[in-house]
Amino acid sequence: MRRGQLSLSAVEAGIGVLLVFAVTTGFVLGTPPADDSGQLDAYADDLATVLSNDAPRHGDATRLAEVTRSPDAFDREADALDERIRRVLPDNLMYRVQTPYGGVGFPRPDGVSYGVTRRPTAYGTVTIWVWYA
Amino acid sequence: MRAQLNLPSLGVALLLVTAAVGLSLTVAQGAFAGAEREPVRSHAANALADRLVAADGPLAKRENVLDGDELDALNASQLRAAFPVVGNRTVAVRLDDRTLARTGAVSNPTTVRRVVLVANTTTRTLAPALSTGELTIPRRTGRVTVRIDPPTGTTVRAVRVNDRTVLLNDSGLRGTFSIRASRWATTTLRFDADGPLPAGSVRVTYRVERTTKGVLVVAVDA
Amino acid sequence: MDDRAVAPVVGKALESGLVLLYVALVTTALFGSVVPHYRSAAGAAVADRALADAASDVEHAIPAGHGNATVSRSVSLPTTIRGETYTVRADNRTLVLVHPNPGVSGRIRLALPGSVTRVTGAWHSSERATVTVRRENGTTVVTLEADG
Repeated sequence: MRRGQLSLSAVEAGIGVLLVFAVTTGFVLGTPPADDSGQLDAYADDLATVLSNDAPRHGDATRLAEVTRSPDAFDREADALDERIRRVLPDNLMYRVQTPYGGVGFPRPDGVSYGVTRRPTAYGTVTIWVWYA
Repeated sequence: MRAQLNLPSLGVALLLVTAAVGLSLTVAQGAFAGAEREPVRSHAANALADRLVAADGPLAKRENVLDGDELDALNASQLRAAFPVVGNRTVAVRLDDRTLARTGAVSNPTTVRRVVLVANTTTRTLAPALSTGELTIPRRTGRVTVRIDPPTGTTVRAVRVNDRTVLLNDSGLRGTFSIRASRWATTTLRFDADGPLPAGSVRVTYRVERTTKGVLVVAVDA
Repeated sequence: MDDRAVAPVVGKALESGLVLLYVALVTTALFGSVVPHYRSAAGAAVADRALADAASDVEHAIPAGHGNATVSRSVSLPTTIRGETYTVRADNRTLVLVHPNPGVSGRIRLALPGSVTRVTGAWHSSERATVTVRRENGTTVVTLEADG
């Protein structure tokens, strides 16, 4: 009676090939995705620089210092700050500016990469987040 | 039970494994080729962008504020001379969609974008009649040029900017003077004169800066 | 009954011997030709990354403004690349990485403001690297030196 024999070498070869491909695929797919946070950080830094060098509307040293001075100052200047940021930032970016007395801009979504920068002013630290719309 | 010395099948099996190894080596070769010099090129793009927007650069009026006239005049040789980090690389500098300068055709570049303001200055002149000896400049400006040419019978003794005396001459001021003012506050000029100052006796020239937003794009080729 | 095949044990032993021989051959071939090349390529990539980070550190160490100032900043460099120590030298506004393996060496141009007059010094990877920027009387000198 002839019995077919499963050629063990074929099985061994198949496992060997599978192993080699598994390792290769690990390298091909396993590298981390390109990191774009540097670009967003640069955007946030630029926005903070422009705002901190802006002439204020009333008193104080700069626009950023003016808006962080006190809760009343923040309420008064928040809309103007919002307007100014819209006129400075490219349209494909969304932002949030957090001062000690309140925030200006859009709520921060989850699952997006951000650029962030913190600027100290005479009255507190201002944090700016920027992300792609 | 007959044993099988299955050499041919072993040979085929080893050939298959060798082929798999060869394929993996090709993939590895491709991966290494794709990673050539990437951090250095990325550094060149970022560093050039930093230099372009820096306050002490030739194109910038202030940090992240670029001068519109300087941008228009930028060309490839100036780019290489003012920013030696360009070197022999193929670099393109764009403002939004307009190419400002490029040292060659750029394909498959590393791009860095910066938010900037482009400042265009225009000069405005005021020469009204000064009934009260006061003149408020409607826009905030850093520098004011004053030409004093009073009519006979009137001497202008002093000129004050926001309570700060900048020009003082008891025998009378006459001529063109450049006065420094502050960008952070409204400028009011006060003329100390002992007679009337009709229109034209005092001409105030100031520069108005208008800023527009823009995105500076620096593209460095491989 | 004369054609008896070889006994299974011997057959399998021969096969495994052949496979072992094959593995040894392939390993030797790879280590002889391809693996050193890949090690150098990986070393060159690490060297590039280290140079770019060091150049970025040097550029950000330069203070803004015009007054006299001295700034000292520490720079992190990997101690060895491809198993050997190396030197990073300043060569006329360029950082040059000198490594015993020529494939790993590299250069990177520094983007410095026009006010910088001179860049000198060198780092050895086994020491703690520092960059010192001295600005006095209108000249700015950037020095690469070792800490301590």
